[in-house]
Amino acid sequence: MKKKKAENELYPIYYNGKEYYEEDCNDVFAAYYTCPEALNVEGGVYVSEGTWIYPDGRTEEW
Amino acid sequence: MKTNKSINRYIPEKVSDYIKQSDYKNKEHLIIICDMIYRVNNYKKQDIDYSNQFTDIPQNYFKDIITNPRYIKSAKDFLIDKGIIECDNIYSKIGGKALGYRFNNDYLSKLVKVVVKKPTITKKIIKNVNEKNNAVNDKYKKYKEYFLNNFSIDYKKAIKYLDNNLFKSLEYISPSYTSSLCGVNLEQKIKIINKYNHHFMAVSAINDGELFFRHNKTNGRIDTNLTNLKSELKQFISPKGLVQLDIVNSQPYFLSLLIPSLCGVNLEQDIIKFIDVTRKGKFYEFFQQQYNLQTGQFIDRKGIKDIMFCIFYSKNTSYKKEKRIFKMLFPNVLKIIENQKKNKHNQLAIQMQITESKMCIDTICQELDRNNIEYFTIHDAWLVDDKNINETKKIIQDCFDKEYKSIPKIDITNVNKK
Repeated sequence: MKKKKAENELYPIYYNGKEYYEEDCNDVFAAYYTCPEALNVEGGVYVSEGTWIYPDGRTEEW
Repeated sequence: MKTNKSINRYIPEKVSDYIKQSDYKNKEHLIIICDMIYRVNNYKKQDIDYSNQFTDIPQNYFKDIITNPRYIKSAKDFLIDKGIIECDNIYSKIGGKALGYRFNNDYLSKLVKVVVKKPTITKKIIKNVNEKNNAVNDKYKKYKEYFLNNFSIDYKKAIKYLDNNLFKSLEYISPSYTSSLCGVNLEQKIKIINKYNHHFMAVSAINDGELFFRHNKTNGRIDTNLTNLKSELKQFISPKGLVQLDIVNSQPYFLSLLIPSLCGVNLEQDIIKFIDVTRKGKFYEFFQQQYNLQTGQFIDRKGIKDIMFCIFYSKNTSYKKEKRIFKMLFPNVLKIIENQKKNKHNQLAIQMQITESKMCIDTICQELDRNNIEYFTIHDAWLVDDKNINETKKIIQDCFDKEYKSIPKIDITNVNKK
């Protein structure tokens, strides 16, 4: 069993019924995810130009 | 956060009804603990799929508001004994794991506002919010003060909008959603209600003046209630009459600014072409046309943008098909991109965000401050009063011209009407 998230750590993230560690996340999400406060309430991180990316690689103009 | 005699907290309606009827002496303590479950998750994002996962809440979060540990224990025990909340009982000081809490599914319901008036509690909440925001560098003081004192939301309209969406979502999965939470749609209903509650909490925090303003030291960006707000809710923010100024094809543009420092002054033909189309703000259109020609597939502008993010920021070993087409057009640009990512693939993303924040936050925002233009920022965009459009656009373009001898195209859209 993987260890639980410590305070201020980035991973794991629960998203879409799954626990995501860095190695489970889409490359682009992992590259942009640098702090939990940057996530929107749906778990996306802002890339640019109104586009957000989610742990599974889904993008959305959120 | 301003000093008020009372503070609003938000707890599920069914929990609120239970607490009202109970004879528990310190009802405020029960409210603080229940409110903390959604509130902490809104910042820590441990339950971002809304499936009612446990949210880890360090003991000091409770102690910052309810100082006596005996009162905290008593309130938590009461809520657990009555089956209102559940605790995962997993705690590790070495592993940094705090106890996790969540509401029992039977008590999951829409959040409602509960007013807390006990002075010992309200003073502590206000002090905590202000302390966290004070930790920001003085360089951002003017923007921070403007943001904390002026950013607000048309609460009634925003909640009405969320309510309509909630109603539609519940209707969609089950026309008779008003019956109790049961059956095959239980999981979906929990997610819909949890999602609503998270947005409700985010909007309520703005309305209550519980604003956050944090400078991210890794990428230099400033994260606030605005940067994390769903764009469809921006129509309800105040002040009214705001317009948004965006840099057109911002990511390719920032890459074009970085390129000379990454490969020297002797630029290959394809690099010159890349710089030329990005600076004209035509990069996505150009790449879309070429991509569609090469593949015979039609991909819209959003799809092309997604492909570009993959080419720029993914590991060198992934998205090979997309990179092959980019390589045909810009072989030396791809070489530069891959070289930046060869040791760690997130390095280019971080470098680009630092370049973006140095220009957008550290240079342009400071210049707007000096010119007494009030603004809000969303990383690579600025929201200003429509009377300041031209001056703001000129400042943005002058700053880029001064720093990089390059003038970006700026796109302007209305955010909210006066």
